[in-house]
Amino acid sequence: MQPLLLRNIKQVSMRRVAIVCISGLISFLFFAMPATAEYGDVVINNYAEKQGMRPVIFSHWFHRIRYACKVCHADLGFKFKAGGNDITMFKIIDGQYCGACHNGKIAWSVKNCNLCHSAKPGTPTQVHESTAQELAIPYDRGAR
Amino acid sequence: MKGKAVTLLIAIFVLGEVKSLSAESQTSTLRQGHTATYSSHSMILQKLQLVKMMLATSPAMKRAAEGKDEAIKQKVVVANEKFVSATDALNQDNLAGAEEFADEALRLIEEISQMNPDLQQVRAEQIKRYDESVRSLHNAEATYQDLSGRLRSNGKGSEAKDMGRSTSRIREKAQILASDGQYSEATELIKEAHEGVIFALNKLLGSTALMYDLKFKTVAEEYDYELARYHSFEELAPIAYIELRPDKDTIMLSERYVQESRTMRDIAKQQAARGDHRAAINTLLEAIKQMQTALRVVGLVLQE
Amino acid sequence: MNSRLMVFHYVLLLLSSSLVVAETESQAGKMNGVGNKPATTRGKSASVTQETYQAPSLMYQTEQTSNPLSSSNSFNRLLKISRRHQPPTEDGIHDPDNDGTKILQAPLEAYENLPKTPSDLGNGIDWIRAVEGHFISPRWDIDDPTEQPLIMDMNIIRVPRGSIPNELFPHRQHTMWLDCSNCHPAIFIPKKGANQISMAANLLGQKCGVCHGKVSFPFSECKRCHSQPKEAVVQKGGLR
Repeated sequence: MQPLLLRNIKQVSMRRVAIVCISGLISFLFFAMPATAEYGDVVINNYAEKQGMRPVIFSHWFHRIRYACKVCHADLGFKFKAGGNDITMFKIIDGQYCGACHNGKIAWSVKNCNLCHSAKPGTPTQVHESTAQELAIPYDRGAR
Repeated sequence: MKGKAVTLLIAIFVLGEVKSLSAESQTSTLRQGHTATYSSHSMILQKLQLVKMMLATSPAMKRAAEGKDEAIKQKVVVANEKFVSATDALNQDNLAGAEEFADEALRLIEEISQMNPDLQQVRAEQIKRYDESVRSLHNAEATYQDLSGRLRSNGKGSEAKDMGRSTSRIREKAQILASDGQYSEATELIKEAHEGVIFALNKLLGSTALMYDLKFKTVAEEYDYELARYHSFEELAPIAYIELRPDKDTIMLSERYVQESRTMRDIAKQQAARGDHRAAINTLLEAIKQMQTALRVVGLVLQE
Repeated sequence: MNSRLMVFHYVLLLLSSSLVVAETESQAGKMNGVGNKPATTRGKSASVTQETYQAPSLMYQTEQTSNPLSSSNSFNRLLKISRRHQPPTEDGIHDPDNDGTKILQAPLEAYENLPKTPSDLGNGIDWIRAVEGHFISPRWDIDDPTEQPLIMDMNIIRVPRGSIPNELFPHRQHTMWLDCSNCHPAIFIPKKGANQISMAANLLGQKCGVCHGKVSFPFSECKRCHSQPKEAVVQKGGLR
């Protein structure tokens, strides 16, 4: 009799514990891993926000499928630094930097403002998900 | 009571997931077919501001005004007209029309820029590319000569000399073209020479791997290497502070380790000056450990 | 009261777990290996293992075509929910209220036919295999569409301090993408012993970290670079 009673007590409280744990686990899994943009996306906000536009997002993966690194970083003169290139709309329309391809002939032209200026307002210049960015929140303070 | 709290929590989470899922299905249908026919009022206004800025202050417009090409000047006039039409259309709430005029104006501005490029700037870029290609060729040649010396087996010595001679001939030819102002052709020549050197380098190396190992001839050499290694860690500290943005107390703690490490480096320098290189190297290794601790304190954890 | 509460709990639990499965399946189906350890794919087609190298076009396609029921059987046992490679509207930095964001291509669409890395670090794509297997043919020169890269095949083995295995730097894979001037001499002086490279520098975005950890594969997989045994045997013609 004794063991049976104990088992019943255990069953009831174990069920509660199990439900709380499992629902906690599910919600933890959902909320502990925030959505992240694609690795290598560069946010450029040197002038955009000051002029009332959303910051620009440049996706490396999309361009890497079509061009070798050399084309932009050697032939077009892009430096290896987010925000380290003085890109202005004047220069783009003139055919420099992004404008070498984004001129309506090779890729979309400058009239499509919001295809490039698509970052959330307030996003600072960064290389998204870069190691240094990840390091900025040390593991013991909540980095993923 | 506990049960009610748990229920409430679960309900909140489930609702949250339902909301996010429906948002996802919304965006996917949007991506599947629906595109906006025209932008909103504020966006067209922003586009018109860009057009205005371009027409007023763009260097291409200035070049067009100062130039003699009538076709370009005509385009400038048309672009200005389009801008005026766009502004009028926007004021009359004709968003589709306003956007059309604005896009036309932008297209014309682009054409104007492309029809009369800034020749000075094009030339400057050509010169830069020529200089870079010459430098690359020089580096490649130096590597080839260095490696052919080290990996030389019988008979390979003459190949290196031939290579040196042919590349210097090409370099001279390119230099003549460059001084004539024909930078693109000069760059092409240099690129060909570069290709030749790389081809020879690949043949020379075959399946050999170069070993950059830590072999030193003298203790003094090892000391110099360790000192350089120490400096490479030291110059990381300010970069770490800027990139990792720790709080003030953490920086203070880290700087204390940096100071300790610098003291040890000074001791090491004195030991080396006295001739005791072995002790100096050990002190430097300790100093590097202190510097690594300083970096670890601000969040740069190394697994070594 | 107690039993009704229990039933309610169970129903809610069922709902949330079905949502979990739905979401993970939609993600897991798109990206083979994302969030799933390689072990989960072994069950589908016994002949294909992750260890044996296969020609690029076979490795991932056989897993999908050999068993038509494979996608319905892809239950995410570990309940690992991957929120990486999200489409622009949900990725956290693009503005979902921007009309342009909705037109941008989602990464997973483009990644569908590209060879992937087992670890899914960074983009999760094996870009070298993508080029060599002709999945993509990125243009090399801005002016000449037919020009091919000038590939230099020079391996450098560096011996770091400590017990970490030696590191192999292959010029070949890098010269497939980069020009000599991209690295030399600005980032690396092309001379033995002239560069002090440390993991600290790499992690802070210097030296190798100028690209790796930012746009090329990150440093999380030590073996990817530190692949050479510590006591390398000097063979005739093998090592200098």
